[in-house]
Amino acid sequence: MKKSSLLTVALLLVSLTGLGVAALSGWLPGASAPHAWSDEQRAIIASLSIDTLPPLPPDPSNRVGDDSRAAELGHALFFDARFSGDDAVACASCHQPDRYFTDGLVRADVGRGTTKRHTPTIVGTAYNAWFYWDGRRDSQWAQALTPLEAAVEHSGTRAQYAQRVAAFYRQPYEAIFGPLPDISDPSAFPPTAGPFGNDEEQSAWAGMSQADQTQIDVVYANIGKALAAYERRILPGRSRFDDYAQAVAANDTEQMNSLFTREEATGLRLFIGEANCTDCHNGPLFSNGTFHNIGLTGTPDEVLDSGRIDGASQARDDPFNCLGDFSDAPAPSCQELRFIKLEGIELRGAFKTPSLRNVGQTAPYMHNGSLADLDAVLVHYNAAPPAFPGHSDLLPLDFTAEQLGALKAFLLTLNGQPNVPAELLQPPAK
Amino acid sequence: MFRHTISLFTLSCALFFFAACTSPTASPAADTGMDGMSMPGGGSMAADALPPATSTDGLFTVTATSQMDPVTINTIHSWLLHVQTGDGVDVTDARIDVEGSMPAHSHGLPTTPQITENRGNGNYLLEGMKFNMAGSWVITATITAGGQSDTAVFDLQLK
Repeated sequence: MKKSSLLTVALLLVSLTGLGVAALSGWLPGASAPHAWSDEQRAIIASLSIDTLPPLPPDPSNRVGDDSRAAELGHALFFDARFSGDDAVACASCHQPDRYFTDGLVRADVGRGTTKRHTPTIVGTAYNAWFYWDGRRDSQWAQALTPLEAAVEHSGTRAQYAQRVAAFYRQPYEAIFGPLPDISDPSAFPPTAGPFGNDEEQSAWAGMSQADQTQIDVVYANIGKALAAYERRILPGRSRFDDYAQAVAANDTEQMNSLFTREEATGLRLFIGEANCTDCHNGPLFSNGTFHNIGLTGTPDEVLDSGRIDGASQARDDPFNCLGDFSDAPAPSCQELRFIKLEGIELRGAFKTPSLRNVGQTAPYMHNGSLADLDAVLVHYNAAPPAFPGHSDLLPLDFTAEQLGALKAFLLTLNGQPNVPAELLQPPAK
Repeated sequence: MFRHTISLFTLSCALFFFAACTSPTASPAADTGMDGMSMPGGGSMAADALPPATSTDGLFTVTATSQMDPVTINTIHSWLLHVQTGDGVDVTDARIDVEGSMPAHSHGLPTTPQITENRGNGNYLLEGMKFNMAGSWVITATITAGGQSDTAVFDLQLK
């Protein structure tokens, strides 16, 4: 062997030994030091922890939002199938408590046809500014009203629901909201009537005086406010990630080691780093609550879905919005609605960033339920196909299978049951 | 061959020392603002972090201060703008159009902020500010006063 070759081998051995020592002692970044975090990374991890979730802010548009009697009424209404056109559908039919308030379907189907979009969870939505995938409502209570009259959902009418409140919930309703109007005269108050019913129901609604319509609308809005008072109590619970974040804040490597595998920590590192997930999935709810186009073109049978660009104008025009006659909010407090963005290419084909809390247990995914599992979601982000309509906010990740596996492992650490008293997860005792 | 060996050795050593430099530290998980106030991570900035911006043609100087301190992502809030002419005189009758964008992401602010109150002495209330991502943002304030228009640009970082 030549001298230079011997030297080569010797130098290589020295340098490789050095690398080995570095790896063993956990000093190599990324691959070999899963629990070593820079100050910047530690700050980002802290910002994602449920420990930074602020106390639930009041909803000024719903004066009974934090009234326990309203929550109790809303709890009953949520599980009561009499609040549907044929006594067959309750809120809980799709927002199933044992499925994290989702339904496990691609798109909801209660036997009257398929909805346009996938059922999102209601857990933690009290923190949101906008509701529905396209944000076409601006409060939990305005949202709760809309499925009640949708033909493929509850398929009833507001006049019908007011009658059912009078028949089944008069006492608790009046204790919260004051006397119900007298709606017993069927010539003035048809048993079923509403602006979104069938032809007969719409015609019956159009035949009512404006004052009588308003009386019904008030009861209808109050149904929504009671439902929201219940839904506000359904908050996200602690996950293993949150315990890990606590260990990171304390710089407790031993604890970090016991809580996260190397793969999960690698996934977290990618999540807050190269994968750019925290661009949108940020804060303790893992959502920025705004709207982004990620290039989900959907299935061929789907109608072209423009998302937020339509949802924004619908929110502005909703009579039950924060600035409307049925809202309890002083106008200046309706900040999100007053400064709503109505135009911009980025709103086209854009949908609300969902929270990732408990994401491992809420398949399928996306506004159209088009991605069956987390693997499919990660494949989508890895390829970042172009969008139609609009343009995609994504850039391809081009990650290896190992990196995608790490991201998935991390996402599964976000599993955690909702932070809700057990009695609220089932129908109230009679 | 020898040169190749040396460079491989150098690279390996460099990797070793780089790795050693990134060993864990015990500093707290929050950044510290200029005033020593603890800043949350994940996208924030001190309310008074922005230096005054002179408009492109030098007609106006705009000072922007957030009324929420620190500025954090995902919370709608207001700013106070103070407008002066290039030579330091308060502009009390300005029309101000504010826009924001995130150049790296080709999208704007998630809201449409507007001036809702002229508070006199060159002060204006800007409501509806909201950021939905950490990173680099550009805010432009187009000032129109005395028949002239000019745009001041703020570059800001939410860390």
